[in-house]
Amino acid sequence: MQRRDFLRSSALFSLIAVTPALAKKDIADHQPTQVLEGDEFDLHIKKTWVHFGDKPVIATTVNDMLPAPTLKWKKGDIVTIHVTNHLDEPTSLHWHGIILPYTMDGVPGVSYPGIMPGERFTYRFKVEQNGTYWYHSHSGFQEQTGLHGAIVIDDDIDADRDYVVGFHDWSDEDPDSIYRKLKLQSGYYNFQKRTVFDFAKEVQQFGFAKALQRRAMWNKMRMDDRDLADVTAYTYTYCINEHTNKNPAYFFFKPGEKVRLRLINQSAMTYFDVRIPGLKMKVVAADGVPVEPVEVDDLRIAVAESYDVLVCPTQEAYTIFAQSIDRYGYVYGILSTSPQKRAPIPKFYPYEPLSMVDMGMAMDGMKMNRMKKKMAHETKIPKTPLPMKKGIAWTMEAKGAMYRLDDPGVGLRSVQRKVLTYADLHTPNLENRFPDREIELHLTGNMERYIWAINGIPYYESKPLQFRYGERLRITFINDTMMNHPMHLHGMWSDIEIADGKILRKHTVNVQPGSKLSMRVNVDATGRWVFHCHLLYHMGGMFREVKVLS
Amino acid sequence: MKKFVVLLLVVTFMFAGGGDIFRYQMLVDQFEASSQGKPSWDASFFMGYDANKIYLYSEGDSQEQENEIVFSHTITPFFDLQIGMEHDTKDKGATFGEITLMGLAPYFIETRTKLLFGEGGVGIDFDFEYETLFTQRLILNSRVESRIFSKDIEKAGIFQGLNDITVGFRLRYEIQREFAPYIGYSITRNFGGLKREEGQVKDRFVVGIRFWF
Ligand SMILES: [Cu+2]
Repeated sequence: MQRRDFLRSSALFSLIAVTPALAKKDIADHQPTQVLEGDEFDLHIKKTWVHFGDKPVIATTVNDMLPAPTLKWKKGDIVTIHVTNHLDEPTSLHWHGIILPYTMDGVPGVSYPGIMPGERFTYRFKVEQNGTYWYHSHSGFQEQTGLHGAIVIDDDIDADRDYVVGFHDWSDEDPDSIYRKLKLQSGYYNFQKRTVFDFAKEVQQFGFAKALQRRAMWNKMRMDDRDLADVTAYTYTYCINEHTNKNPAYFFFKPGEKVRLRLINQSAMTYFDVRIPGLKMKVVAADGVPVEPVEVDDLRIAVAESYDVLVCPTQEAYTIFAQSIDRYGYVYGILSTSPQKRAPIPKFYPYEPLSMVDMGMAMDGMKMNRMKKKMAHETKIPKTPLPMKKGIAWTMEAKGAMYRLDDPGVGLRSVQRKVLTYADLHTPNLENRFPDREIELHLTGNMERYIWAINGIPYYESKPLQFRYGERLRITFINDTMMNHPMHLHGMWSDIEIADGKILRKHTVNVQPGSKLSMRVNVDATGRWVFHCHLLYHMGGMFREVKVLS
Repeated sequence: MKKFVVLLLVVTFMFAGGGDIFRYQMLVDQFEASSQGKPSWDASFFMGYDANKIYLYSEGDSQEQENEIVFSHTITPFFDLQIGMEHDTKDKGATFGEITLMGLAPYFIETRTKLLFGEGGVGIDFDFEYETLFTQRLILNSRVESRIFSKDIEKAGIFQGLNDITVGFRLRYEIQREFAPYIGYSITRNFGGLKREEGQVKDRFVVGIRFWF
């Protein structure tokens, strides 16, 4: 960073720790993220000192803001965005979920070379959609260090208040170091592994023979049923709009008002289970697209997903509580009538290890019924074979993988409240053409060595996927790993097949461990795109280039 | 020897298609002292990629060591095949070629099984380890090591047949994943043909640290 920039940013941004005295300053002076409106934007990507976790560190910011400014667009407008790179490394901005020409998509090496140090790149495209989206860097691990922000495009969902609730997992650690540690020891950040005392408990519960038998399965496969998250609160400080629990984010309302919360998971690695004790959340849009409204108590938001929910608070204060999927950390925000009013912070849901279901094995009777939802349209669709490699990047095969759209997922299965699942959602008024052909993508990995791949082939050994312009493609995922993977296809919508011929239109599709999921894609955009898992540290391998041939 | 090292480097980097980021790790698994005997260590260093790496191993004390350099290639999801050489400094010393299988066996048993050849003989080295978690940071490492050889190699203190079996337990506390002090107990029984050590049982209590970076 140049010294001049350094000084300027320190004057502008009160989080900055320039001197040790400043470094100790609390996050209380957080300057709220700006909302930029209009059709022309000037964004400057810089390094800025921040103090979130335990020590001052350098963040990657847009206009010195963390998170990056919220961009407000109007459908039908042609937006122009000038992005200047003040870093000493290449950068990029990708408009997540936005339908646009591929040259504006912002993926270095695919849609353009990226934005070089000192360079300015201008994005210009027509806004063709409404709703809640977000943007982030597609270069290296910059997203982890702060380069992410919300996009709000006006629509006709009616509310008295409208807030962006952006979740993020902040780390003081250098992301390169996080990745290296995962490569050296994939369980580095997991401090909830199984101990001998856990085994003793199982012996008490089931008897020695049964307990041993239960373990044997996992041990033989060299898999850990407590491997819920690669990176945990051991290094992460979770935030909402970059407010931590030390200085939680407030969202104000007057009793009786209808409040719209735009929940966006802008994390690098963290799945959040969100609830607002005392309030029902009415889900009105998923990934920016309106859905048939559904009222829920709990929802899990995968990395890169967004949900628009409406709440009608009547009391004085509520807690927006988001616990990480592994129940090791949480972040909360305050929905309140005044800065003095707060509601209690609820307890974590109990820790739940992975089960045979998550391994794609046949499951015990109880679970059987609810999972066995048959797809209405199992008519034959011609399948195009893809290269596969049963090498070092494929340790498990989910032989009994099933569609589990109505499975709330590990940790939420025993919750006695209404938990949102994909089966509850459906996008109305969309044509659902029968697919012309199908491809099957196995999400594969080797947890022991921390290698991720698609069809056993990591990105660096892969050939681009070929889509044909104009076709309706069916993509079926089989998750041959023990982790959730949020799969994101650029440039085109992903229509998840919900039972009874219904579809759910999304930009990010969460595929549960050991499960199967099918989506349909209208291949209506030519060019070079990418298709990848949105977990930042999976992206190196679980990534494909997509070529749309006309 | 120099030529051999250069060859290993070339092979590793030629196959840099071995994938993903370049990385290295220095792991000092044991660095310990006991009331009887000199301080001893067991350390390894690697650099490379997902599939191809170069490893250096060193085990011993100030007087005698086993040092190895190997090229390591991942052949299955859980196992690496390693090819290289080992030099033992015991007595006058001896050098062997080695082919080694290293990896994680079912039930989370870590193993390094070496086939050694040279000095007119063939041998096998076993090393099995298992980790038991008492808490997230208090971990018991149990280890069994043994060497079997086809003939006596007097200058290296190796004898025909089962040479020795060492069983060790080390209870460490991971202050950080990278830094863990431990206490332990290790017992070695010598079997083989050389008169001076035959049937001897040596045991010792140890204190040490395990660290990596
Ligand atoms: Cu993934």
